[in-house]
Amino acid sequence: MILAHRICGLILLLLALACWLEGVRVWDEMGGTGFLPVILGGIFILLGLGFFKREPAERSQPFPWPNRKSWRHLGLALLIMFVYILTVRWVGYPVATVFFLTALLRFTGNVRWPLGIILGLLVAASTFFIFKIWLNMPLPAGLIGI
Amino acid sequence: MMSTVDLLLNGFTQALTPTNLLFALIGSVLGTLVGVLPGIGPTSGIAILLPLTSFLPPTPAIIMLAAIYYGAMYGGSTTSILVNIPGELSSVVTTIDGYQMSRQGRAGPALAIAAISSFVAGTLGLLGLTFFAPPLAEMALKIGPPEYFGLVVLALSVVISLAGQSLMKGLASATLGALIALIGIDPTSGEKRFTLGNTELVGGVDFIAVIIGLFAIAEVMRNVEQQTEAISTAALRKLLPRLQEIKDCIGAMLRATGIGFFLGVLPGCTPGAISFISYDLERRVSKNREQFGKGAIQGVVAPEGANNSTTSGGFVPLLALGIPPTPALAVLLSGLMIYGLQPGPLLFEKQPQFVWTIIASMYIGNVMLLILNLPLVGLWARMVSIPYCFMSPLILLFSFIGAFSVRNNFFDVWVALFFGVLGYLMEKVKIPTTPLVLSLILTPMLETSLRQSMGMAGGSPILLVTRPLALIFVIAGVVMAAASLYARSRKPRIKEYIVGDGKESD
Repeated sequence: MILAHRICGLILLLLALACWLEGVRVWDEMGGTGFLPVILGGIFILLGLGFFKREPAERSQPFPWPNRKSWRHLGLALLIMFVYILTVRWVGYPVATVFFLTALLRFTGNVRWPLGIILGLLVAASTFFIFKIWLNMPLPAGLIGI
Repeated sequence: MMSTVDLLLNGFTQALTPTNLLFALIGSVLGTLVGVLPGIGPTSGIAILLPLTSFLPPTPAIIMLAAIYYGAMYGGSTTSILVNIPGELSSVVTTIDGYQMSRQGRAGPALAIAAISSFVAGTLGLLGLTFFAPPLAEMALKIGPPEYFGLVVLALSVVISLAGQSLMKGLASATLGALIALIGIDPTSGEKRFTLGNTELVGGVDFIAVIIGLFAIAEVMRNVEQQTEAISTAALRKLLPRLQEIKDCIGAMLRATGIGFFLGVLPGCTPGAISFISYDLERRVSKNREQFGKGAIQGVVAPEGANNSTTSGGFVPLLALGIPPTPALAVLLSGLMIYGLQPGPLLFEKQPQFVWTIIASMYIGNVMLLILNLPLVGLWARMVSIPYCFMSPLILLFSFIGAFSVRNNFFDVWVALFFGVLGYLMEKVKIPTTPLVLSLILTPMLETSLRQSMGMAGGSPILLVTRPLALIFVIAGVVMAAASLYARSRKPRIKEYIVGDGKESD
């Protein structure tokens, strides 16, 4: 049995438990607030158990997980995204976006620093103009206040 | 009394005045631009651009807003096809074959056929709006919760077709979508469900953030992992589809028009669900169904056509009854009300010139959009050959902006990132993401219609099987599900048609 399948099955069983607990908590009547959660819980149980059974079609097809280098790229990309979303409110859209784009271009795209910085500045400025100035979207101003 | 044709011709004389033409053009251009911006769909597009019309008299203002709506619907398919970012629910299905066509160097024909299909379906839909608006609106009012429940069952039967290689995985995906749809306040009882004590979850999980995550961010993660050079490294062959291809698509366009228009008339029947139904029907009737999910041109025609005829169909309840069937039209309704216009049965009688000028301007807007969009196909199509190291940061940035823009809330950006990672992992474990989206769209409608139906019968579900139309829909859904299951057991290769499952193993 493929480990990933087993993990999926386990997650589905946990979701089933969550659905039932929530369904019971909010249960009022047949067809009421808790009805669908309880039904979904039942379906999750069946599917979760099903995942513990190997699928014939995939017996010879291991999942193509990334290699070490790809993991590094992916991890970096995720880290940059995470830091960007976390900090953009405090740092402000223009500044955070320049750093975000430059870092992505450099670390996941292997673009040279000068080009990365120029592109980061250009894109941040143009999107700031389109979304904040033109479309009046309330992008975070942050500490700089723009 | 003037006939419909006379009234329409009268509308054309008004709509073709230089001022109205100018605002239809401005609206079409702005709508297309907003639609092309990833993550910004027609609803936010109209909402953002609504203030721009405030200085205009009612007729040019509404003409401009309607043109923005049409333009945004047209533009929305561009990012779905080029970079796998559906800006709105109705464009999700377009990504399935449209993006595959782009990867094969056929972005030009995909964009062109989307524009042509949108034009044909949009225009035919307008004919329906012109000649059948009042009777259709009255008919739509007779469709109650049991019929809606039947319709949802029919739409949910599509999950089996979308399940990919493993039915169990498709069902797991759909069930997960249903669970996500339940997060937040229950609209009937007001009870919080699955909020885990988090105030951000009380408002529910936004569709757009989920879609952006599952499609755009997950796709970037896949490409970063594989160090993809460009979305397509294949040479751009032709920018327009072959004449034979267009001929082959005529049937698909007509079917999409019919489905989109008639279901679009029903308030609450979302364009997202309708495009799924249209795609599934097209796959079923297609001679080359094994190509679906691998870049079938009809796979672009069906959702795009349905999407645009839904737009026309949606104006039926909006103008004739004052009921906006989609969020985008709800914003448009607010635009009408700003000018003191109250859509409803009396609007056609009290302000015929206004109504028919708007309808005539939609015909003109459709032609304008085709003329505007076809020459741009070459420009857009070249986007897919831009090195991916430059594209991925842009896609991510637009994804975050798109997720943020829906409710101006950073929580939605986190949701997009979460679903990006989830979508990536689902792809690895070969769980298709499309059933999740379909179920996410349909579950609220399913639950509401079920509860209303039971409420109508004193807590019994009897109405679901005693109302003829509801029963027909339910039976059709069961038959379609059974047919899909039969096809799966007979032709295992059919299972592979859908993107997101199985393509890695091909």
